[in-house]
Amino acid sequence: MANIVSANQLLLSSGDYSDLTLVCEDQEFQVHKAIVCTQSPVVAAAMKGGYKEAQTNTFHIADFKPTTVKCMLDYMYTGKYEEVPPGCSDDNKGQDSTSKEISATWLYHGLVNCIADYFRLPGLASLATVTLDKLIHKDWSAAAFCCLLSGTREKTGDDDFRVMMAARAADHIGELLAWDLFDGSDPNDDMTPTVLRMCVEKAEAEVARAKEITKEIARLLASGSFRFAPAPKKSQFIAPKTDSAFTQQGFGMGTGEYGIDCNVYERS
Amino acid sequence: MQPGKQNEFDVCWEKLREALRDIHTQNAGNLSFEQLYRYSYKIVLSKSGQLLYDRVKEFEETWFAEKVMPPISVLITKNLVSITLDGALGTSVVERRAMGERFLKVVRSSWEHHNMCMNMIADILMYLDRGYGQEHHRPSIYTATIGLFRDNILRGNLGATGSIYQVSNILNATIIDQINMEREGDVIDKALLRSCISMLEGLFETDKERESDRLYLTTFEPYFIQTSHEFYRAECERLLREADARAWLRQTQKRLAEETARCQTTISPLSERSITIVIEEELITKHLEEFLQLEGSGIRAMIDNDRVEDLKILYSLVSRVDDKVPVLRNALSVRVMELGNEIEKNLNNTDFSIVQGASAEESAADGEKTKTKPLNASAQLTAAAIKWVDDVLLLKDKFDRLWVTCFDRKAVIETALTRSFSEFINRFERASEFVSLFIDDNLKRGLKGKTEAEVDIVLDKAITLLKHLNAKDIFESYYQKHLARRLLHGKSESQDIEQEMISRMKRELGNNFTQKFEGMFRDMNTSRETTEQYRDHVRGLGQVDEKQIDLSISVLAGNNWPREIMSRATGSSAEPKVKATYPSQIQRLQDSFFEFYSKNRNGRILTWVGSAGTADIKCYFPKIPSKTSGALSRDRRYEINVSTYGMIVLMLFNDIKEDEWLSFEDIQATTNIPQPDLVNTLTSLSVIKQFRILLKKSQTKSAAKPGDQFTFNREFVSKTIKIKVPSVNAANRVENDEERKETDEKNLETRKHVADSVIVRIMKQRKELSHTQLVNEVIQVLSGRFKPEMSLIKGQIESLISREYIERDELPDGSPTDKYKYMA
Repeated sequence: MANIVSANQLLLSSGDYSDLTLVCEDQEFQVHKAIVCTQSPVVAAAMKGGYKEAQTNTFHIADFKPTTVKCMLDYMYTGKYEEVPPGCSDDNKGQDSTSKEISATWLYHGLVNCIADYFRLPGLASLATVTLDKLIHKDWSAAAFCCLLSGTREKTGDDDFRVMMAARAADHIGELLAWDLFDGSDPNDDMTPTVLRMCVEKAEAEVARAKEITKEIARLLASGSFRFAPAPKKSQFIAPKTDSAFTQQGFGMGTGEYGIDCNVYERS
Repeated sequence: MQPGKQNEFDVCWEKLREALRDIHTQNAGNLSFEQLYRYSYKIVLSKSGQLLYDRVKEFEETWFAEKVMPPISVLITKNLVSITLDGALGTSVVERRAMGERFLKVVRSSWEHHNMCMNMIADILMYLDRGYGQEHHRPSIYTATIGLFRDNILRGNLGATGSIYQVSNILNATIIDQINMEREGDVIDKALLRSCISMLEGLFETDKERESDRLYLTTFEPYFIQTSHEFYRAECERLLREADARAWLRQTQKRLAEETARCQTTISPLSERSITIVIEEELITKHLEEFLQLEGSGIRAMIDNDRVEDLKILYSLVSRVDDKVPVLRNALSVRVMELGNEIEKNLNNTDFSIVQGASAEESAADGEKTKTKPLNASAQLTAAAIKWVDDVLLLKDKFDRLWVTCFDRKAVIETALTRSFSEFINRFERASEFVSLFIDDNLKRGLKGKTEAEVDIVLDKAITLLKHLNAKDIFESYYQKHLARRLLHGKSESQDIEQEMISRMKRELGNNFTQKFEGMFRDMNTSRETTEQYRDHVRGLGQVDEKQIDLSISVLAGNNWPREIMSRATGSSAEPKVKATYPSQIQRLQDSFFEFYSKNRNGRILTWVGSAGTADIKCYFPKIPSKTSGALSRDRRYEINVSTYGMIVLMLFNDIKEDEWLSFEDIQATTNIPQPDLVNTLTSLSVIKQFRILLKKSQTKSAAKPGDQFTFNREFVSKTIKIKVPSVNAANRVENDEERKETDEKNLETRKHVADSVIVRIMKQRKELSHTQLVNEVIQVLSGRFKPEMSLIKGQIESLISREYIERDELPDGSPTDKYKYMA
């Protein structure tokens, strides 16, 4: 496999045996129909029938940046693409990335999802979505999220991508509301309903969990065989970082508040 | 929708609309796919997909109405409609074909054009299918637009031309018309038809595109099948009128091939099964029996003239329709029976003219005259038996061959053939006798100089026939009789082949069947040893002198040998026991042997069977003084081989004076030989010229009879020293009618005994059985030997009841039930 990957890499970088040119802005990519057309039905259709592209063997790509096109081609030839956009430093350890770099990285992946949707490359689309999801989890930044949202709006029809975005938005809904997002003011915004639905689902789940725990405590206490002991700090259940916005909004029952684990109870 | 967005949509749609037009007018070469794709992508992402979808459909509908339909309508003239659908005549085939082709070509080109355009359009609208069609469960844009062809063209209204039909009706009818032209031998444009058909295959009743909803299957195929039925119905009726089964077979075969090929090249492979069913129904099944009955070309002619090719085709056709091929099977059975009966009829005709009124004796008496006629009566009957066997086997070979070459070794046909063979063979009442005679003849002389393989073939033939015989017990008794003669007279060609025959019978029919035959062989072998021992014994006595008589003896155990031989000696209940008087020398010899024999075997009784043995006699004929030259002027010595009785008779003449005559009655009184045997013996010695050792007073050609006078023929001359006097009786191998009746009665008697023993054995084992059960078991047991008649079994049951072997079970009130009980 490795051999094929490196051979393909060479093929792309050298442009040898190329029979198709992709043009994006001022950059030309010498590519191969055998690789591109077999993966993208869109390019394949262009090359098939009586359109101009088929006669000139040139495919112009508008509305996307060469960087993004490069990602797509890397994926087509090797099955992956660079995770860090050119110009951003690749040091996860040590200092935090600057917020500007976070924005750029997020958008970079977002646009990869867009181009994947445009060229109908489902594998690439989900790769970009998953990568992005991880990044958002790692370093949350409301500013970068807003930037990503507006940068990909009306550029992708990928449902998985939108669901992921909505889920992350729901996680940080309080903060985002402060940015005037999802407040229903934008008529073209089709994400708000999804985000709201997710918020409600989340809240309901929290409530249900709280009820469950309350019931359990009541049962244990009623049995009389347990007594409350001070919770040892070490074994405390680590809840995911919850957002203060929830408590403010009145959903406030973050799991963290209970700090309950089975170890809390000791047999009398 | 926002004004800005609406604006954006309009801009994009305008571009797309122009592109659609360019695509339809085949000017797409300058269009950028990427641009057009991006327009539809933008429209969809801005949630205007539905609008785009509807606009495209609308555009295509308008296009159909304005640009595509008119040229097609023009071609659908009243003429085309009336010719293809209303069956009007009046135009030449050429005209009709040209008109149809023109119409089909326009349909084809507009379809191909549409299909191509829709493919291109579907490509640029690819994002619409994904972004909009999937979400809203609408058929893909390709399906929707390709379906427009069906809605707007095929289902197009022809009201303008004053016709009630749709284009699709006319299209189907035109295609069928072309196909029918091809069936009649015209050359048509297959590729054109194939294109139109593939259009129908590619279109569906609805945009749901269900597999069974292809227009080909819903509109064309039913019509195609219906018209094909009509076409082939007419064709079959025509063939029937022409009354030539060969032509019918070939035409049907050709049609099958044609239609299969047509499905591959012109219409769809989907229809292959349906259209062959049409042919099977119309051309094969419907009039099959009528074709088979046809004089001169039907099944009979095919079989009789070995029309292998015809039969092959016939089989391939009928086996398509019904795997069990009932009609062919029956026709074959009937023919086998007919041919079998013919064999019998031929045989009867031939025999009747020759054998009529000529009993064996008369024929023998005619010996001198009929020298030119090479066969005597018995030989003729043997010949008849051989002819019958050969004919039957020939017939069987013929059908076996047909079975292999034409009928694919089909098991049901084999069964039918075997059954018919058995039936006619068993209907021929002499079958068992003839089969045995056939074997007899072959073992006696037929196998001389034949290779092992050839012998094998003959044995196979015999076994084949034997397997078909029902009355195996009758065969057994004939075989026993024939075998006895072969063994006692040393006429068997080869001991090995005899044994081989027996072991084959054993394989086919079981151990019981050959028990007696093997017993006979055993007797012969033991006798050879006994003879040797006796000779040693005699030598040991030191009584060797010139007059010593050399004895070779066969000791036959009573059960194994045929009754005819044994009964002559021991006397059956019908004849009183007669014991021939042997000359004293011979009697001494007999006594000496008996003494020797009973030394080791106490209590055994030996009975001498004079009719079954032979004797070599050294005869001295002194020279006749009156003759001075020729054979008669010298002393003559001959070694004459005669039957044992012949020896007894001849020895009488040693003791009488020259010119003394002995009367038949004298001889009978002295020798005590049973009259029939004596007649035979005297006839054989006095009638045929070559063997006339005795002179009969009143020299006639007829057999010796009481009242005749005999004397020693001093003037007997023979060219050879050793002379074998043929036994007249031995020649009488085929029984005359009276004997036959006798044999039949004996057989019936035997069968009764066998049935008795079977019934008793079954009852002894089962103690109690109902009538039906008992009868069934009896039939089952007996079927290996013969097919018992119901009356026989019933009769024997009654007889066994009266003899108190079994009894009828009774109810407490004394009324009989249908059960039998075994009485211990």
